[in-house]
Amino acid sequence: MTRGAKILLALALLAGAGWLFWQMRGPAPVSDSERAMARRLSLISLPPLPPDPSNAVADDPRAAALGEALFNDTGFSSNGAVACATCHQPDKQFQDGLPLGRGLGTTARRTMPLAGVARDAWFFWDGRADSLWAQALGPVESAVEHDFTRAEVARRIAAEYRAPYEALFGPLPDLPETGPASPLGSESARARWAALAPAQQQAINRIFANFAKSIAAYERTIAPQETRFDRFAAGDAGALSPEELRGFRLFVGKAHCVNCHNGPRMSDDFFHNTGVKSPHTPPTDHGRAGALARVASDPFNCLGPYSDAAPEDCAELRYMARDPAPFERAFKTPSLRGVAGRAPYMHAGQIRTLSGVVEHYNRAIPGPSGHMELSPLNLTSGEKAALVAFLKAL
Amino acid sequence: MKKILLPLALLLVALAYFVITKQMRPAPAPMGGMSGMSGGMSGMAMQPAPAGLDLARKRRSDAGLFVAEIAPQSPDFDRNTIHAWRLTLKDAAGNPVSGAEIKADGGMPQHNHGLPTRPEVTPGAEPGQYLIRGLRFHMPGWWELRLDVAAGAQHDSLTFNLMLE
Repeated sequence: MTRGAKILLALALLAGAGWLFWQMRGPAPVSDSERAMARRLSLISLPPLPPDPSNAVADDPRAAALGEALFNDTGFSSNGAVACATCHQPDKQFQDGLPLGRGLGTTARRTMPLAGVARDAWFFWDGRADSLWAQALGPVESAVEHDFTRAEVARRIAAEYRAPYEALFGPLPDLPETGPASPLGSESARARWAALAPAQQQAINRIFANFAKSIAAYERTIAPQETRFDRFAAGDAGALSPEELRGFRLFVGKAHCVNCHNGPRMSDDFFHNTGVKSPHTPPTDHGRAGALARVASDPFNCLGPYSDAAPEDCAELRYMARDPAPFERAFKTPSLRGVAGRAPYMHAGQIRTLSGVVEHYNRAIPGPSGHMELSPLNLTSGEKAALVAFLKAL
Repeated sequence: MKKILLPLALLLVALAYFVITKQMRPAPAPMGGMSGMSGGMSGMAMQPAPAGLDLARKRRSDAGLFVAEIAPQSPDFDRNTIHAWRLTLKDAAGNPVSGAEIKADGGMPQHNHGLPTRPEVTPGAEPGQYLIRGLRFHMPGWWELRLDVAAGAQHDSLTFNLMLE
């Protein structure tokens, strides 16, 4: 052996020994501050469900029972085949596993799950509704979802749900036989709506709102479930594997996930442009920027005539930032609880796998419009795998 | 013997690459000491603020016309729930300034975004007291809160730095 070969051999052995050492080394023990951070992300830190002052029946079990029936009733659709549960499927975390929701047609966005949804401040991916009940109104009158109208909702309530409805909301008024009628529907539906007297319109709107408030009362009962991560946060260090623990450290550290996925639901309840691609050029979906004026003028918002809230209860709406420019293609931070069971990902199901999502954040490439908030993370492939492993424990 | 040199060198390079890129174990998360914050987990996940950032909650306005002091209305406020801060405004001589028109704005310089809400500043019960309503800080880290103050003919601005976990 030459002298050079000996040196190389020695170096190779040294490197091999070093590698073995790294391999056999266990993860560092969980520190107090890491434990505290885990608790902040855990259901241990979940406060009691706050009241919804805009919905007087929010916590009435009779409303929840009525709401559950309405949620599952395909009769509130133009073809008799679409219910809330068609896309919000109870056995799939109340979502559908599809990139875009499918009712009578195909929606422009991904169906959102419902566990813990009653704690949100804003609803839909763009926050165009400011209460859970105002959210429940939207899909019913969407041509690609239920394709129904509020006048038909009122007639069906009177025909099929009169007793439970009147027990909660008082006697139903006499309703005109209008057929499909709504200020938002097809041309003919809008014409029929315009032909109604204002008092009739208001009576129908009131029933439509109460219908949605009952559905919201049911949805308030859908709570997030305890996961392995919660057991880890409660003190069971063995609940996470060494790789998952490494992923946790990245989640709250180098990968900056916790900047937005914060708190026990792992969402900051706000809107961010994370550079997600659009199927359309230029993009047709402006996210939060396209929703601000809409929610501010929505007659079913917290300050509107169908809300049960006092104006001082409507702080989110009252102090809402109104300039759309910073919110171009900003979408709501989704909760990460149960995320492994909810592929595909992002607001229109653009990314098929969790590793694809991690790679998206790792690369941080600006999207088609607006200001992207991300910076590249420079994660190694081992780090990316650890993050994915951690996400599966949530 | 020279035949063995190349494979050995390749092996060494491959091993070194493997050790460096794939097998790095995370070091225990660094606990950056962040001034102006309470609690033990400060520093995790947050981009550190620039060194020497002035976190004082009482400060003189840019042109020296006013002295302002802020404090959260509730000491254990939840940064991500809409809440209010108290503001005390005095002139350079230390006299309370009432009836000022005050605009509140701000944002996160490191994330290049503004406030998530549109706060309002309303007069409080005492002379020189105001309430900054409608604040919500949706992310942890360094926030700026800017106040534009107009009292009579006097206009001045000031910027507070907040480190919120």
